[in-house]
This record gives sequence, C-alpha cells and structure tokens, in this order.
Amino acid sequence: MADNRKKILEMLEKKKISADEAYRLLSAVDAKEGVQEENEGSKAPKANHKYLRVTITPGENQDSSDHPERVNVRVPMSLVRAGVKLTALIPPETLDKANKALHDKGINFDVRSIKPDDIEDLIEALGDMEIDIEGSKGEKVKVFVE
Amino acid sequence: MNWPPMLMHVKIKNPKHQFGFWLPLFLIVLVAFVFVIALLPVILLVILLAWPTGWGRWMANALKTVYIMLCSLRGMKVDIQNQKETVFISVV
Repeated sequence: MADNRKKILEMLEKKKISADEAYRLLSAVDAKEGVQEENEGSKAPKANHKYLRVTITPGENQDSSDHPERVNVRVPMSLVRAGVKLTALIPPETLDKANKALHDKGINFDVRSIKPDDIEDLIEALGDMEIDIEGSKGEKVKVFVE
Repeated sequence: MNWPPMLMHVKIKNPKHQFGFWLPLFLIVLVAFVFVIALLPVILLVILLAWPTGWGRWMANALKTVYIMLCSLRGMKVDIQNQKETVFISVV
C-alpha cells in the first residue's frame, strides 16, 4: 500500500496526473486499506467464554444471626446455550399464548421471531455482561461470564 | 464429540453430618445407554407414528436436546456455604 502512495506521488511530481487526480487516487487507496483492516478485524478470534458465574459474598457488616450465605455457582455456557435452545420445543399454541400475554402487558413482541442465530448472538453478547450489586449490609452479588 | 459427564462430586457438611462422595455417573450412563438401545425400536416406532402430526419431530428434537443438556453439565459447580452448613456439587 505504501508503494501505491509513493507511485501516485511520483506521478504527481512528474506531472503525469493533476493534484485532483492524485487526491482521488490517494482517497481510493485509503478506502481500500480501511476495508482490509475491517476484514482482518472480523477474522479475529471470538472471546471464548466458558462459564457463567454467580457469586454472592456476605457483607462485613452482616451479623451471624442473619445466617449469611456464601454462594459460588459456575454454569457452563454450553448448558446455557442448550437451555435456550429448549425454547424450540415449545409448542406453537403455547407461543401464541405467550405472544398474547406479552401483548396484554403492552409488549408488542413476537416470540416466534427469535431465530437460532439471534440466540447465538445473544449468548455471544453475554460475554460483555457484568452485574455487580452491593446490598445495604455490604453483601455483594456478582454475575459475570469468564 | 461431546461426552456425558463421568463423575459427580458431592460434599455436604453440617453440625450433625459431614460426608463427601464421588458418584460414578459413567456407570449410570452405561446402564442408561443399554436401556436406550433396548428401547430404541419402540422409540423410533413412536416417533415415526407421531411424525405426520408434527409431534414426532418434536420428540426427536426433545431427545436430542436432553442429550445435549446432559453433556453440557460437565464443568458445572455449585458451592453454597453458611456458618453451619456447606453444600458442594461438582460435575466432571
């Protein structure tokens, strides 16, 4: 790409092309480079998230009478994926009922419009999710993907 | 290829009891596998008979999903503790 730019500048220097033409050619080279960079970016490996983690840690201010619990749950993402795919087994009549119930609540969403690809995208997007809640007594709830 | 989980580790601790054990899931899977092989003709027949109604396809998908979910259990870990009790379950 640097060679192309050099050639354009040499052509301009030798007055084979005008300044306008050189500008257009350089813009074209820039645009081509941008597309190539985008393609290389899309080839980058996706983050491999393996587990959905839920942790609950009791706060320091909690007294023993509260029976504070420490919870650490690790769910494989493949199980989440398989669980979401269970929606494909919901009979059409039930989906109609779900759509009606959503409509009654003021949500105009067609459950049937969810495609397996959308579910994959949704699970992929879970990788960026992080929920961090701190209670009044200092207890912490964390939900994240690792 | 995904394989079903092989072992399950369970640990329970409270003021009265304290025990832990490894459950050999691979033995249960083996027994279930033999059971499924024996019942396969019946399962296939039911699926074929129900296919025109649409439920045959649903049954086949359900069986496949249940198997995938069983295989996906590998790596699952649950650890709950309070001052008196501890419950730990891990699927390997």
